[in-house]
Amino acid sequence: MSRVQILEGLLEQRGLFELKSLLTNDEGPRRMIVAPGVFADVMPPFADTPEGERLGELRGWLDAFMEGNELSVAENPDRKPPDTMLARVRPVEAEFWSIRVTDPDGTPGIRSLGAFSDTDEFIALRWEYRENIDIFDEEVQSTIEAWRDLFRSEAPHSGSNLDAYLTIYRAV
Amino acid sequence: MRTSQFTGLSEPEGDEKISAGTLAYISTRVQLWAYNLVVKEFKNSGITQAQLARRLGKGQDLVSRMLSRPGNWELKTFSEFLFAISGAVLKFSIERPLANAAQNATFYKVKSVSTARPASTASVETVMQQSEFHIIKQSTDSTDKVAAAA
Repeated sequence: MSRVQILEGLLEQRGLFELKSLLTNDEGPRRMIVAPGVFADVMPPFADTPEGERLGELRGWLDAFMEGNELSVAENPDRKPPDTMLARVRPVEAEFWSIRVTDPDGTPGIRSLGAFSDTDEFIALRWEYRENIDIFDEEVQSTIEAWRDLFRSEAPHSGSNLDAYLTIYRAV
Repeated sequence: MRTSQFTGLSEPEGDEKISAGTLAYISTRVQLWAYNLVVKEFKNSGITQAQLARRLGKGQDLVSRMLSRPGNWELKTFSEFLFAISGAVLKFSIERPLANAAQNATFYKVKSVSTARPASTASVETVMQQSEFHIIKQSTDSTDKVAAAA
């Protein structure tokens, strides 16, 4: 089975979930698909706590992705501005990326790791408060394993430049 | 295994407190729309960051930093940037995207969630009202809407 066929099967069987804007319930120009563990935490009601606040922000960023907002994107995992919104992670050849929520001020933010399944189509498999990630490579490894559990030998989407991944972005 | 049920957001009702998480979601959305509006306007204008910095009488470092991420900009800063970029003026209108939430709500049931942490367990009713920004170019009178959730 191809990656596309596996993905459609997973969506049907609720092994993955496609998000829709919380405000309109519409599909946007981009697709954001999430693992059940991510889905459970980015769906309202959001808690009346600092953690709930941070998850509300994460969901805001995910919805902005779907709506086609411009993203700052770093291809080099070792050289990126601290406020980069989407960054490739090591090992580069594995084709995994980190959504970087850097707000609210005063917190290290949240990272949500995953991979592209197609242009403008991202699958977020995990998320974590940045301060809880001691060894980032281990977080990446767990994400790679989560991908393999779902897609077996099918690799994530890849391309020769950022245009292959996103239509609206700003390389940083 | 655990089973949870989720629904969409709904408008505020009565005296019930809006959760911090919901307010954060709403303010994040509006911040990102507003930021996107400025960035789009800047791209369309064809001017450089150095030019914009000169128009604003600010350092290029500051302008570059402001354009690099959707921070919590002050309204004053938004207004100044938009005007300096293209002569655009920020105007506001509001809509209530959740007014028909009952019809639009999507219900999900998640089973066998395997995650390192428990799902959010907030019990507070969620709330919101979406703001929508418009900008009007003084010179052309053309209107450009933020790519709102629509």
